[in-house]
Amino acid sequence: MAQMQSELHVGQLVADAINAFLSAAALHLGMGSQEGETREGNATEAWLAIMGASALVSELSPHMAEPMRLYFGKALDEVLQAFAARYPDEVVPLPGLLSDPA
Amino acid sequence: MSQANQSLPFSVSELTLTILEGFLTAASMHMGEASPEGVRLEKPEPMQAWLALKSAGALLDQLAPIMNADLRVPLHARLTYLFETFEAKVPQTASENRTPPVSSLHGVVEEAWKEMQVSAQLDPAPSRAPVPQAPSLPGTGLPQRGSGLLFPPRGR
Repeated sequence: MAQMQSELHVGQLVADAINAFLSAAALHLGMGSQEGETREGNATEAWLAIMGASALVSELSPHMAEPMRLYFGKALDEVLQAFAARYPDEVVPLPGLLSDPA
Repeated sequence: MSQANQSLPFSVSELTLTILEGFLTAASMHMGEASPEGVRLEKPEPMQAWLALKSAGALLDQLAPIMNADLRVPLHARLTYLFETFEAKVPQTASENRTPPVSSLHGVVEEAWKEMQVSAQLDPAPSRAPVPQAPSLPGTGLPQRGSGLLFPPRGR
């Protein structure tokens, strides 16, 4: 018999996912995080994380409460600007970049 | 801070796939199906399923062009199956709420860079006080009044 779960908030899942993408981008841009800090940036990984965050923010911002929309919009802009400042000549990654890590 | 100043191995691809899997599982659970672990929701909510499908669709739409086919095809197939299941269960879903067609990632990136360059030319002074703005990426469109479906992250 299946185990029952009382609730599952997709809104919180979305917020956590965007935050995770933004944190990953910041980490791969060499910016600090709460857990630690990396000095070695990775443009491709940062770019992929920014694309993930922007996809969710772009698609879901019309359905977000205003404080959340403003917060994520500002955070995404900051990460994008940091990317442009750190990797001004970076090219778009090629198809096949995203593959099964397993 | 024991790991400060160290390079942390962190795969965004793995993060992306985990998040996609989470959205697809959440969608199926909010349509009354059990999770892979055999967990069911006591009160499935169609709106939550729609939100999860829309989120998965947004990620796939954006990232499918750079996915390997062996990854992209099963994910698309699963999303399509869930979406058709959703429409069958909730037939009054408006067509404008459906996931968008796959767009060109290349065009999205080019537009983003153009916008960033124009912004930099229009506002070269970095010391100006920051003003909260809506996302400037293409596809966002003009900011609309929020429906309140999503809520602010906890603790903010």
